[in-house]
Amino acid sequence: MREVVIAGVGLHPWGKFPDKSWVQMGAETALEAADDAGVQWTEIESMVCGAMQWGGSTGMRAGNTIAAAIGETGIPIQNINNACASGGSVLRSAWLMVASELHDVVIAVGADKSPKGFLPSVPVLADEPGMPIDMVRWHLGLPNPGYWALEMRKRMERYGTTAEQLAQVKVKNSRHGALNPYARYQREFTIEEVLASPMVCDPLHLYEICGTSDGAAAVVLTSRDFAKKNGLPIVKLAACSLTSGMFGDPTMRIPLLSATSDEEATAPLLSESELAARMAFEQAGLGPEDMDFVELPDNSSWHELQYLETMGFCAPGEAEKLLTEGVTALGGKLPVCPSGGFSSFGEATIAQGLLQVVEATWQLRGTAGARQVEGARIGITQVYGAQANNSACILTT
Amino acid sequence: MEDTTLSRRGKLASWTVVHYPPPPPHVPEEPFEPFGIAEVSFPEGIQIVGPMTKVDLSDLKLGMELETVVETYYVDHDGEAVLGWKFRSVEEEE
Repeated sequence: MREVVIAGVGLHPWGKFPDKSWVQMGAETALEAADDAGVQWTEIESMVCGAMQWGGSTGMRAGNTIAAAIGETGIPIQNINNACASGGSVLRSAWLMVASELHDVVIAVGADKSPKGFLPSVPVLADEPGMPIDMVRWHLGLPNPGYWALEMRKRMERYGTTAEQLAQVKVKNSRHGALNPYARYQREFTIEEVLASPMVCDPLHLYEICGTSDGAAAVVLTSRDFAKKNGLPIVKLAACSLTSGMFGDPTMRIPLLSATSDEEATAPLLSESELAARMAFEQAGLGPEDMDFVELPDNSSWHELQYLETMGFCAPGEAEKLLTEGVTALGGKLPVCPSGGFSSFGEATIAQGLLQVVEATWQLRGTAGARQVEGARIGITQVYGAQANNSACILTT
Repeated sequence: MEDTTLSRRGKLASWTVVHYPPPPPHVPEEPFEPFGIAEVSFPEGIQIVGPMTKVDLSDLKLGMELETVVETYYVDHDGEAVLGWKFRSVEEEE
């Protein structure tokens, strides 16, 4: 396998864009990434794109739809859906194409528009024998934040996490997001505001759950030789893992309604995520102690606390301490979500894994502006999706 | 594959309250009342999620015993009751 380099990135601002289609957002962002890499659209040898379930049939073939909007060039186009981890999955496939020397220039694209409120299920065939589990959970009425709330309740019981500590996650990430012109919510929130926001799924308040946004992100991967021609600082994609869950994991997974009990668990909580981080570290020949910053999936404030442990940055029950001591804030030893995280961007499920990689690239180029992590040389991104999809990437200078 | 019959009773492993009406196919009550969701750990080594028959948060204690019952999740637009499993506290029954 040869070295793979991030030669160009593009990011659409995130928010709600009722007058703009996801196709337009995706096409603009893909062209921006190509331009950033110094390549013409016609030089791109392959495209991997997130399959966007909310866009119906054409959304499931988003890559073809976006390519047609820009101009078709006959290249192979793959459409991938791995739920909220689609961005990481897309990048993994693009990475494999360049690493294996099949192609020299590959673009990974994610464009997404989210429905308002709780993310619903996509309709299934009415005559399908046996009800899909996603429908059972909606008959029951359990939204995604309900799953995260169940895990957070356990954490509070296990480690004594307080409501104020939990609220501090949003306060910290909102300070980062306030410095990011691409974020949907560019302002600081106070602990009082977070605690006064409506309870959605006890103990998680509205401001402790990421919103659902429209957004797009694109990354152009090339060989090192190709990137040298571009003249930009070289950012290496040193690892890109993709994992699924393991039997015996006690996590109550969206959209399932059962799991191995905590007492009988034979795999770690979020086994797919623990595995993805571990594989990425192994692949890059690096460890948690080498990381200058982390972009983790803060779908809720519970995730931020849990992922610090799942990724190996601290022992179980110690994430709250890292937070309250300022270790994970900009200026701290290990800034977490310098972009502002999903808490400041909102979820755009297909694109959010690529958003993290775009941010990490800017951090390593030293062009992240007011939210720049000083002296950043190595960073890790991790994205989490329903039904135990996970991907982690390590970027180095 | 082998079927296993679970015990009717298990222990409360976690809980939450859903404060906003879920999207279809669920048909929320009018006016919407927040409802409780329990995660119950069964002796067979599995934990299962289901609605609670009532929410009195002051009564909830992790580790308390709950019992499985069949009750209405919601009444659909044709007036048909959609049934499923729910959990209630053992004290509630007695």
